[in-house]
Amino acid sequence: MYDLMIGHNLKPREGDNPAAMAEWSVRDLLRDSQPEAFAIRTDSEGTDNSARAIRGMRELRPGEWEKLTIKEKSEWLIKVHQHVAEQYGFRPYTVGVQRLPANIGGFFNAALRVIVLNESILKDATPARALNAITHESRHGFQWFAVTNPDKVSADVREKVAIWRDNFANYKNPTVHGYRAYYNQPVEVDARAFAESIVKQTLGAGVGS
Amino acid sequence: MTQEFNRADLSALLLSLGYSAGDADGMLPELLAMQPPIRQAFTTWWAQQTGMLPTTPVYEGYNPASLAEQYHLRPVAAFLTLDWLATEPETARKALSEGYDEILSD
Repeated sequence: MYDLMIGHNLKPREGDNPAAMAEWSVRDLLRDSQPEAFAIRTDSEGTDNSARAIRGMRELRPGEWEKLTIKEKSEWLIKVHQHVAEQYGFRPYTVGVQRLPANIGGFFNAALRVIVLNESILKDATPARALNAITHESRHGFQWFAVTNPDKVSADVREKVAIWRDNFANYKNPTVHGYRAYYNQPVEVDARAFAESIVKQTLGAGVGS
Repeated sequence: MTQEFNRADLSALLLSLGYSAGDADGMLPELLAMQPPIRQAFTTWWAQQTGMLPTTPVYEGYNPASLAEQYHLRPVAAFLTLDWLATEPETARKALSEGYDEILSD
Protein backbone atom coordinates (compact mmCIF):
# COMPACT_ATOMS: atom_id res chain seq x y z
CA MET A 1 0.00 0.00 0.00
CA TYR A 2 2.79 2.49 0.90
CA ASP A 3 4.52 1.69 -2.40
CA LEU A 4 1.98 4.01 -3.99
CA MET A 5 3.99 6.94 -2.69
CA ILE A 6 7.35 5.85 -4.04
CA GLY A 7 8.56 8.00 -6.91
CA HIS A 8 6.04 10.74 -6.35
CA ASN A 9 7.38 14.28 -6.33
CA LEU A 10 5.58 15.76 -3.36
CA LYS A 11 6.59 19.38 -4.03
CA PRO A 12 3.79 21.52 -5.49
CA ARG A 13 4.28 22.25 -9.18
CA GLU A 14 2.87 24.82 -11.51
CA GLY A 15 -0.47 23.64 -12.81
CA ASP A 16 -1.21 21.53 -9.78
CA ASN A 17 -4.84 21.60 -8.75
CA PRO A 18 -4.90 22.83 -5.11
CA ALA A 19 -8.24 21.12 -4.43
CA ALA A 20 -6.95 17.81 -5.76
CA MET A 21 -3.71 18.24 -3.81
CA ALA A 22 -5.70 18.89 -0.64
CA GLU A 23 -7.83 15.84 -1.32
CA TRP A 24 -4.72 13.71 -1.76
CA SER A 25 -3.30 15.08 1.49
CA VAL A 26 -6.48 14.12 3.31
CA ARG A 27 -6.41 10.68 1.74
CA ASP A 28 -2.80 10.26 2.83
CA LEU A 29 -3.69 11.24 6.37
CA LEU A 30 -6.59 8.84 6.37
CA ARG A 31 -4.40 6.11 4.91
CA ASP A 32 -1.93 6.58 7.73
CA SER A 33 -4.55 6.56 10.44
CA GLN A 34 -6.55 3.75 8.85
CA PRO A 35 -4.04 1.67 6.91
CA GLU A 36 -6.75 -0.79 5.90
CA ALA A 37 -8.55 1.82 3.80
CA PHE A 38 -7.99 2.31 0.05
CA ALA A 39 -6.01 -0.90 -0.30
CA ILE A 40 -7.38 -2.18 -3.61
CA ARG A 41 -9.90 -1.04 -6.20
CA THR A 42 -11.44 -4.41 -7.04
CA ASP A 43 -11.61 -7.88 -5.59
CA SER A 44 -9.80 -9.41 -8.55
CA GLU A 45 -7.00 -6.86 -8.14
CA GLY A 46 -6.59 -8.12 -4.59
CA THR A 47 -6.49 -11.73 -5.77
CA ASP A 48 -3.96 -11.01 -8.50
CA ASN A 49 -1.76 -8.88 -6.23
CA SER A 50 -1.86 -11.56 -3.52
CA ALA A 51 -0.90 -14.25 -6.03
CA ARG A 52 1.94 -12.12 -7.35
CA ALA A 53 3.29 -11.49 -3.86
CA ILE A 54 3.03 -15.15 -2.88
CA ARG A 55 4.57 -16.34 -6.15
CA GLY A 56 7.72 -14.40 -5.33
CA MET A 57 8.28 -16.17 -2.02
CA ARG A 58 11.54 -18.06 -1.68
CA GLU A 59 9.78 -21.05 -0.09
CA LEU A 60 7.91 -21.73 -3.33
CA ARG A 61 10.96 -21.92 -5.55
CA PRO A 62 11.61 -25.40 -6.94
CA GLY A 63 13.28 -27.65 -4.38
CA GLU A 64 12.77 -25.27 -1.44
CA TRP A 65 9.61 -26.69 0.18
CA GLU A 66 11.18 -30.10 0.81
CA LYS A 67 14.05 -28.49 2.73
CA LEU A 68 11.84 -26.60 5.17
CA THR A 69 11.19 -27.79 8.70
CA ILE A 70 7.64 -27.83 10.10
CA LYS A 71 8.48 -24.65 12.02
CA GLU A 72 9.69 -22.92 8.86
CA LYS A 73 6.58 -24.03 7.00
CA SER A 74 4.44 -22.63 9.82
CA GLU A 75 6.27 -19.33 9.53
CA TRP A 76 5.68 -19.41 5.78
CA LEU A 77 1.93 -19.79 6.40
CA ILE A 78 2.00 -16.61 8.47
CA LYS A 79 3.83 -14.74 5.71
CA VAL A 80 1.34 -15.94 3.08
CA HIS A 81 -1.51 -14.73 5.26
CA GLN A 82 0.23 -11.39 5.73
CA HIS A 83 0.54 -10.97 1.97
CA VAL A 84 -3.22 -11.48 1.56
CA ALA A 85 -3.99 -9.18 4.49
CA GLU A 86 -1.73 -6.48 3.11
CA GLN A 87 -3.24 -6.61 -0.36
CA TYR A 88 -6.81 -6.56 0.96
CA GLY A 89 -6.03 -4.00 3.63
CA PHE A 90 -7.07 -5.82 6.77
CA ARG A 91 -5.15 -6.34 9.99
CA PRO A 92 -3.59 -9.84 9.93
CA TYR A 93 -5.04 -12.50 12.17
CA THR A 94 -2.98 -14.78 14.39
CA VAL A 95 -2.08 -17.89 12.38
CA GLY A 96 -1.13 -21.21 13.91
CA VAL A 97 -1.13 -24.95 13.32
CA GLN A 98 -2.53 -27.69 15.52
CA ARG A 99 -3.13 -31.40 15.39
CA LEU A 100 -6.74 -31.66 14.25
CA PRO A 101 -8.89 -34.60 13.14
CA ALA A 102 -7.89 -35.76 9.66
CA ASN A 103 -11.02 -34.46 7.92
CA ILE A 104 -10.76 -30.93 9.38
CA GLY A 105 -8.53 -28.65 7.35
CA GLY A 106 -8.64 -25.84 9.85
CA PHE A 107 -10.81 -23.10 11.23
CA PHE A 108 -11.22 -19.35 11.41
CA ASN A 109 -12.26 -17.95 14.76
CA ALA A 110 -13.48 -14.40 14.23
CA ALA A 111 -13.99 -13.62 17.91
CA LEU A 112 -10.43 -14.60 18.84
CA ARG A 113 -8.97 -13.29 15.55
CA VAL A 114 -7.29 -16.64 14.97
CA ILE A 115 -6.73 -18.93 12.01
CA VAL A 116 -5.72 -22.48 12.88
CA LEU A 117 -4.71 -25.07 10.29
CA ASN A 118 -4.30 -28.81 10.54
CA GLU A 119 -0.63 -29.56 11.08
CA SER A 120 -0.88 -32.56 8.74
CA ILE A 121 -0.95 -30.33 5.64
CA LEU A 122 2.62 -29.27 6.36
CA LYS A 123 3.82 -32.84 5.95
CA ASP A 124 2.79 -33.02 2.28
CA ALA A 125 5.47 -33.35 -0.37
CA THR A 126 4.24 -30.17 -2.07
CA PRO A 127 2.96 -26.83 -0.72
CA ALA A 128 -0.31 -27.00 -2.71
CA ARG A 129 -2.62 -28.12 0.07
CA ALA A 130 -1.05 -25.79 2.65
CA LEU A 131 -1.32 -22.85 0.27
CA ASN A 132 -4.92 -23.72 -0.48
CA ALA A 133 -5.77 -24.00 3.22
CA ILE A 134 -4.13 -20.78 4.37
CA THR A 135 -5.54 -18.70 1.51
CA HIS A 136 -8.99 -20.24 2.07
CA GLU A 137 -8.96 -19.30 5.77
CA SER A 138 -7.42 -15.90 4.98
CA ARG A 139 -10.34 -15.27 2.68
CA HIS A 140 -12.73 -16.03 5.54
CA GLY A 141 -10.75 -13.47 7.51
CA PHE A 142 -11.28 -10.94 4.73
CA GLN A 143 -14.99 -11.80 4.48
CA TRP A 144 -15.32 -11.09 8.19
CA PHE A 145 -13.42 -7.81 7.80
CA ALA A 146 -15.73 -6.84 4.92
CA VAL A 147 -18.86 -7.64 6.92
CA THR A 148 -17.67 -5.64 9.90
CA ASN A 149 -16.12 -2.81 7.82
CA PRO A 150 -18.19 -2.50 4.64
CA ASP A 151 -17.01 1.08 4.15
CA LYS A 152 -13.41 -0.12 3.87
CA VAL A 153 -13.77 -2.59 1.01
CA SER A 154 -14.09 -2.12 -2.73
CA ALA A 155 -17.52 -1.59 -4.28
CA ASP A 156 -17.69 -5.07 -5.84
CA VAL A 157 -16.97 -6.68 -2.48
CA ARG A 158 -19.51 -4.41 -0.77
CA GLU A 159 -22.18 -5.98 -2.96
CA LYS A 160 -21.48 -9.35 -1.36
CA VAL A 161 -21.47 -8.15 2.23
CA ALA A 162 -25.18 -8.67 2.97
CA ILE A 163 -25.01 -12.28 1.76
CA TRP A 164 -21.84 -12.97 3.73
CA ARG A 165 -23.30 -11.37 6.87
CA ASP A 166 -26.37 -13.54 6.65
CA ASN A 167 -24.23 -16.61 6.01
CA PHE A 168 -21.98 -15.93 9.00
CA ALA A 169 -25.11 -15.67 11.14
CA ASN A 170 -26.41 -18.98 9.72
CA TYR A 171 -23.21 -20.88 9.07
CA LYS A 172 -23.71 -24.50 7.98
CA ASN A 173 -21.50 -27.12 9.54
CA PRO A 174 -21.31 -30.41 7.59
CA THR A 175 -21.69 -32.59 10.67
CA VAL A 176 -24.92 -30.82 11.58
CA HIS A 177 -26.43 -29.71 8.25
CA GLY A 178 -24.81 -32.15 5.83
CA TYR A 179 -21.96 -31.70 3.38
CA ARG A 180 -24.07 -30.24 0.55
CA ALA A 181 -25.31 -27.34 2.68
CA TYR A 182 -21.78 -26.72 3.95
CA TYR A 183 -20.16 -26.89 0.52
CA ASN A 184 -22.68 -24.68 -1.28
CA GLN A 185 -22.97 -21.84 1.25
CA PRO A 186 -21.77 -18.47 -0.09
CA VAL A 187 -18.76 -17.90 2.18
CA GLU A 188 -17.38 -21.36 1.41
CA VAL A 189 -17.98 -21.06 -2.34
CA ASP A 190 -16.20 -17.71 -2.31
CA ALA A 191 -13.28 -18.89 -0.15
CA ARG A 192 -12.81 -21.96 -2.35
CA ALA A 193 -12.77 -19.86 -5.52
CA PHE A 194 -10.26 -17.42 -4.01
CA ALA A 195 -7.91 -20.17 -2.79
CA GLU A 196 -8.12 -22.10 -6.06
CA SER A 197 -7.30 -18.95 -8.02
CA ILE A 198 -4.27 -18.23 -5.83
CA VAL A 199 -3.01 -21.81 -6.06
CA LYS A 200 -3.46 -21.82 -9.82
CA GLN A 201 -1.75 -18.47 -10.31
CA THR A 202 1.04 -19.34 -7.90
CA LEU A 203 1.79 -23.00 -8.56
CA GLY A 204 0.22 -23.27 -11.97
CA ALA A 205 -2.25 -26.01 -11.09
CA GLY A 206 -5.18 -26.89 -8.87
CA VAL A 207 -4.64 -28.23 -5.39
CA GLY A 208 -5.46 -31.73 -6.49
CA SER A 209 -3.15 -31.65 -9.50
CA MET B 1 -48.56 -38.38 3.21
CA THR B 2 -49.13 -34.95 1.74
CA GLN B 3 -46.27 -32.48 1.43
CA GLU B 4 -47.97 -30.20 3.98
CA PHE B 5 -48.09 -33.04 6.48
CA ASN B 6 -44.50 -33.89 5.77
CA ARG B 7 -43.34 -30.33 6.27
CA ALA B 8 -44.95 -29.95 9.68
CA ASP B 9 -43.84 -33.38 10.81
CA LEU B 10 -40.30 -32.92 9.57
CA SER B 11 -40.13 -29.51 11.14
CA ALA B 12 -41.21 -30.97 14.49
CA LEU B 13 -38.64 -33.73 14.14
CA LEU B 14 -35.83 -31.29 13.42
CA LEU B 15 -36.80 -29.13 16.38
CA SER B 16 -36.89 -32.22 18.62
CA LEU B 17 -33.39 -33.08 17.41
CA GLY B 18 -32.12 -29.71 18.58
CA TYR B 19 -32.14 -27.78 15.31
CA SER B 20 -33.19 -24.14 15.44
CA ALA B 21 -36.37 -23.01 13.68
CA GLY B 22 -34.21 -21.25 11.08
CA ASP B 23 -32.14 -24.37 10.48
CA ALA B 24 -35.30 -26.45 10.18
CA ASP B 25 -36.77 -24.07 7.60
CA GLY B 26 -33.57 -24.21 5.59
CA MET B 27 -33.29 -28.01 5.71
CA LEU B 28 -36.90 -28.87 4.90
CA PRO B 29 -36.67 -28.40 1.12
CA GLU B 30 -33.53 -30.55 1.02
CA LEU B 31 -35.19 -33.32 3.07
CA LEU B 32 -38.37 -33.23 1.00
CA ALA B 33 -36.35 -33.50 -2.22
CA MET B 34 -34.35 -36.58 -1.16
CA GLN B 35 -34.19 -39.48 -3.59
CA PRO B 36 -37.09 -41.95 -2.98
CA PRO B 37 -34.93 -44.81 -1.57
CA ILE B 38 -33.19 -42.43 0.83
CA ARG B 39 -36.44 -40.80 1.79
CA GLN B 40 -37.91 -44.25 2.46
CA ALA B 41 -34.93 -45.18 4.65
CA PHE B 42 -35.25 -41.88 6.47
CA THR B 43 -38.98 -42.40 7.11
CA THR B 44 -38.34 -45.92 8.43
CA TRP B 45 -35.50 -44.71 10.67
CA TRP B 46 -37.72 -41.95 11.99
CA ALA B 47 -40.69 -44.28 12.61
CA GLN B 48 -38.62 -46.90 14.42
CA GLN B 49 -37.07 -44.37 16.79
CA THR B 50 -34.29 -46.78 17.74
CA GLY B 51 -31.57 -44.30 16.94
CA MET B 52 -29.84 -46.95 14.82
CA LEU B 53 -29.06 -45.65 11.35
CA PRO B 54 -29.71 -48.00 8.42
CA THR B 55 -26.99 -49.57 6.28
CA THR B 56 -29.05 -49.18 3.11
CA PRO B 57 -29.40 -47.70 0.57
CA VAL B 58 -25.82 -47.49 -0.65
CA TYR B 59 -24.47 -44.80 -2.96
CA GLU B 60 -20.84 -44.44 -3.93
CA GLY B 61 -19.98 -47.02 -1.30
CA TYR B 62 -21.64 -45.11 1.53
CA ASN B 63 -24.83 -45.64 3.52
CA PRO B 64 -26.37 -43.53 6.32
CA ALA B 65 -24.68 -45.50 9.10
CA SER B 66 -21.22 -45.47 7.51
CA LEU B 67 -21.38 -41.76 6.75
CA ALA B 68 -22.41 -40.94 10.30
CA GLU B 69 -19.62 -43.06 11.72
CA GLN B 70 -16.83 -42.11 9.36
CA TYR B 71 -17.55 -38.38 9.18
CA HIS B 72 -19.15 -37.88 12.58
CA LEU B 73 -22.41 -36.71 11.03
CA ARG B 74 -25.65 -36.28 12.89
CA PRO B 75 -28.38 -38.60 11.54
CA VAL B 76 -30.16 -35.97 9.44
CA ALA B 77 -26.82 -34.73 8.07
CA ALA B 78 -25.96 -38.33 7.12
CA PHE B 79 -29.17 -38.78 5.12
CA LEU B 80 -28.72 -35.44 3.39
CA THR B 81 -25.09 -36.17 2.55
CA LEU B 82 -26.05 -39.57 1.15
CA ASP B 83 -28.61 -37.82 -1.03
CA TRP B 84 -25.86 -35.53 -2.33
CA LEU B 85 -23.73 -38.58 -3.14
CA ALA B 86 -26.71 -39.98 -5.04
CA THR B 87 -27.41 -36.83 -7.05
CA GLU B 88 -23.97 -35.23 -7.53
CA PRO B 89 -21.55 -38.09 -6.87
CA GLU B 90 -18.41 -36.49 -8.24
CA THR B 91 -18.70 -33.21 -6.35
CA ALA B 92 -19.88 -34.92 -3.17
CA ARG B 93 -17.03 -37.45 -3.21
CA LYS B 94 -14.52 -34.64 -3.77
CA ALA B 95 -15.98 -32.61 -0.89
CA LEU B 96 -15.88 -35.59 1.47
CA SER B 97 -12.29 -36.39 0.56
CA GLU B 98 -11.17 -32.79 1.05
CA GLY B 99 -12.69 -32.50 4.49
CA TYR B 100 -13.98 -29.24 5.81
CA ASP B 101 -13.16 -26.11 7.73
CA GLU B 102 -15.14 -24.17 10.29
CA ILE B 103 -15.97 -20.57 10.99
CA LEU B 104 -16.48 -19.68 14.62
CA SER B 105 -17.89 -16.25 15.20
CA ASP B 106 -18.68 -16.25 18.90
